[in-house]
Amino acid sequence: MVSNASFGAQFKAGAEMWLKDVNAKGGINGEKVKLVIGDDACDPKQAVSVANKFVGQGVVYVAGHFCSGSSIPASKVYTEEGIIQVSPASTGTDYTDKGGPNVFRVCGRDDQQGEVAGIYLAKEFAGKKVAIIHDKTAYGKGLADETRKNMNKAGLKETMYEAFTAGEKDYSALVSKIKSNNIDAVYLGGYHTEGGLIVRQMRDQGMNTQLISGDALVTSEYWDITGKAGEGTLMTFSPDPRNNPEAATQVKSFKAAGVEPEGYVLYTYASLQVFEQAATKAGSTDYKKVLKVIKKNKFQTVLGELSFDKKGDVSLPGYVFYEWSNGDYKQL
Amino acid sequence: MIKNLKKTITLIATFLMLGSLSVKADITVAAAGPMSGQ
Repeated sequence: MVSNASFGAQFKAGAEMWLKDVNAKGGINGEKVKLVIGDDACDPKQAVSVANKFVGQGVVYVAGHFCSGSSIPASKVYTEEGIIQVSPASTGTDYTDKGGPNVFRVCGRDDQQGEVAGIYLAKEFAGKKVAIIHDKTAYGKGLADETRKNMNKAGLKETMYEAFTAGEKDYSALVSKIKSNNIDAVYLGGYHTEGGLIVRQMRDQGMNTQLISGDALVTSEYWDITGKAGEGTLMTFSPDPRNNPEAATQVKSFKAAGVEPEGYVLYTYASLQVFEQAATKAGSTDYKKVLKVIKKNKFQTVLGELSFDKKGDVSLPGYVFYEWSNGDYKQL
Repeated sequence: MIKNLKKTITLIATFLMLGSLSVKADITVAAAGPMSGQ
């Protein structure tokens, strides 16, 4: 099935490996750790249901959610109930800008990602035609708007700005509009499913328009959709954590278990390492005690050493460009 | 009689306390995301 479920699978793989590792070490403060998995389907209402279910299950910490459109409404439940939330992947600015004191993330923000993409577009496509398109979601529109803002600031105005509806199969009308406007580069704020279909349909119409997008293409499922049509696609993502020396042991364990720790697998593992270290230091899983430790300390994770600012944003480096080629993505 | 009752209550309380010390509750954490199709 083609959906954002490939990102859910990344979260599950990262969380399960952490669970195995932490319990092998005797748990936290001598207590065994249990993991529950929630499926929000990237739907805001379902995310709230999942959050309420977690409350009933006595969850003290959430590594989630993936889509910003899910993380934001779920965070209201966690704030009210005193549950710490550290998203491995939600990059929408509102998540921490408008989040409670219990809200953190170990990934970057869309204003950082949009700045890198916007400056790149203005420089590499100066004097050419750029289209900015988005899927109307909190993540997709947020990222597209940040990219547009930064591209405009750097001196390039978009030729086209369009919204599309996620979940459809046929984007030929949008692709035809891109073609008739002689667009040189399309910047897409959205997820890999629609990105994959759009690039495939552009190639089907004989177009060699460059596709550029964000971190939601960071799954091998993107290539499963595009095949060779995805060759040369550019995307922004944080520096690949698989190359961190701090992650070497875990990368080996994942590979031995038949899991490629791509995309947000290690980010999920790192989110849970934050809880492990904070609860250990606090000597407790008490909400206020753990929160205090998280806010004031540095953590040694598979992403490297990290800490959080007042809003809950992480101290890690920002975004770099990757290119999809022959089924894999490599940093430029 | 009352003395014996007090002893029994103390004994039960001690057992309960020891039990709560040796059987700690698990810590429950969660991971959430899109696990199924949209």
